[in-house]
Amino acid sequence: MRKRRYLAKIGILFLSVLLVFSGIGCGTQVDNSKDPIKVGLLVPYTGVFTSNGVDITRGVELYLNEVGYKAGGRDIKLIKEDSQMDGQVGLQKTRRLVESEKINILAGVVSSTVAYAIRDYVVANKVPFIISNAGACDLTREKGSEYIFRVSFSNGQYEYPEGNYVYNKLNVRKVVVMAPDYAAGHEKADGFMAGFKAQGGQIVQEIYPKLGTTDYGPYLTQIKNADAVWVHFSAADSIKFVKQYAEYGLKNKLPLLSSGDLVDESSLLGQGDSAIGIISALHYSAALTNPENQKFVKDYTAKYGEGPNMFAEQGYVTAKVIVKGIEAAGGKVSDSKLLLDSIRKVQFDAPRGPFKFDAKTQNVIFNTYIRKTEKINGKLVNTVVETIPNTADDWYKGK
Amino acid sequence: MELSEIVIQTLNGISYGLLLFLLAAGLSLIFGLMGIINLAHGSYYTLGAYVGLVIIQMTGNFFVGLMGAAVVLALLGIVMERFFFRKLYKRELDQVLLTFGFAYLFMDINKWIWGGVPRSLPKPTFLEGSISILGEAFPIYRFGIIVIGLGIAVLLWLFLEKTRTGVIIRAGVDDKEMVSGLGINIKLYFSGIFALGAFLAAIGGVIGGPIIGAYPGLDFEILVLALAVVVVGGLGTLKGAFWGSLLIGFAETFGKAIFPDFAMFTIYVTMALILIFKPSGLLGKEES
Repeated sequence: MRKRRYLAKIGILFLSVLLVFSGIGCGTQVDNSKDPIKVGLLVPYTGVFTSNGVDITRGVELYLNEVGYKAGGRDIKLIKEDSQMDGQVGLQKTRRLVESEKINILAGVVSSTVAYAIRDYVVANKVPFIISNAGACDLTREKGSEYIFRVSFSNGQYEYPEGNYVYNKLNVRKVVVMAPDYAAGHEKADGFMAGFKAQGGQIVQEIYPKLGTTDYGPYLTQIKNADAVWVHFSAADSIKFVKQYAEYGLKNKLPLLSSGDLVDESSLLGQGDSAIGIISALHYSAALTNPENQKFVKDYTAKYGEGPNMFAEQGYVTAKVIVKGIEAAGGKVSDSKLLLDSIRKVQFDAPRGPFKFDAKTQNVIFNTYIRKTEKINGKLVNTVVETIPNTADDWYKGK
Repeated sequence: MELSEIVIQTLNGISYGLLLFLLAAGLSLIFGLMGIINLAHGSYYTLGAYVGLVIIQMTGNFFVGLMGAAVVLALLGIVMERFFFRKLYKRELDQVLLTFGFAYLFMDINKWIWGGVPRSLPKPTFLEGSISILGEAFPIYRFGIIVIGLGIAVLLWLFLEKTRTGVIIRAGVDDKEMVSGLGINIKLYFSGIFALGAFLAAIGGVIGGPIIGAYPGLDFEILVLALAVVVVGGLGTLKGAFWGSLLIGFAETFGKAIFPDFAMFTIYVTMALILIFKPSGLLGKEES
């Protein structure tokens, strides 16, 4: 008799344990509208590209603050992780975000290497993934997926129309191309060259120095027989290159054309007057005068004590896409088809101008701005001299 | 290649090589005397550039910044030797690991103080601009590097060859035990050589600053080049560091000019050839 009662007790205990666990299991399936929606943000907080990670985070937090960390009647919880610019680390952190934190949406990623490393895992686990920077073309082409969205750019997307612009508007016919010897450098150079050659332009020389080259002098000495030089360099390389370009007396001889990364607002201070006169193309400039950007620049500067750059804007747009997407889905983030459809249709006026996704590739369609670096009231700015509307990542189809 | 381009590239190679010499000289002398490779040497260079920038911004004078950074770093070198490396005397492996730890420590401190945004140092105004040589432009500032680099090389040579301290240091590199046996406390010179190494690296950081700048990660980039120099030139001698620096400077410059796509390759080929035919480096001390 006693034994039986004992068995019954154990049975009840066992059953209740089972119930509790299945309850937790259900929690991830069924929407509990009281629970916050969890957004994972994976960017580098250590390593060479720390400042990009910090800028993106600031942009994301600025927008989430604006909406009080709420969307579609639910709270938003932002969980930040450091990718360390390393594919393996990025994948490990993504697993943690998905499996332990049970995030509903993943955002961020500066490096295409990290993006490629986590791509298959994210798609297999059906986590909507909003790319805030990584530009590798294939992420929204061959490796594209209904779960992957990109708010930043595909490499070559703004460089291609720039090629067209410098041929037709600046009457440049012969160009020397220089970019760092890694995937993004080649993809961006390919975009520019395709656009330039499509108009009849001629590439007289292509040079691909090592990423992180300290001395560009020997390359600069070789540049000859061209109307202009087009380059893509970013971060520390952009400062070294621009200063050395001026040092070798090329600044007054050959116009310097570039992707917007070269004269990022965070690099201008280090480049100083050497940067004046550079023509660049980008989907953003902190000097844009539309009301959305004026508000963004004002709020950002008030909060962080320095002006925004493209990365901060991309972070801001990432957060806005997430919030607008959740709102359109009525807060039902567990209905993945509904959420993906809602994000895909998000449209609004961003600091960069009109924002929308390409319905097919889920890559952004933006205005390409041709900018000229000028000194206004003692401050270096990228003044917009031409707007090329509705630039999609479709140039490679015509190749 | 045309004559004018050869001339310019030669000047490029010399100025770049002399910048490397400032770094490699200290690295090589510390190894010679103490038997350790100081992996925090790139950090001295980077920290020197940052400190120089701060002083230049405060005083508006490039040369005050140059000397200020060098003195600050020399003091840092003394502190590191006195309070850390001395405690591990004769435990070379532990000392090398300690330098590695310091390299990471300095990297994080730099990022903590100056953030991730790359900085650039201003040039002295009279070295701005470029001059024309056979119709090709060459920056005046790089002439400045050549002059300062050669000047420091000569001063160092005089110091090591003509002064009593220099003689003791050279003797210590050859045979520490024998020098101690002569009643000289060689350990006292360890602090000095650390200070000298950090001093020279900081000068390199400030002089290189207007061209290369200061940013997170520079410490390890520059350390790799300095290591290449000491491998090629041979460890422990000033002459080795000097000719090694020029050789690596030329290998990289002409590598970039002749094979633009494989510039780094020329440095490593040079290193490999030297290691095959002269394992102790061009002018290195043979292991006894």
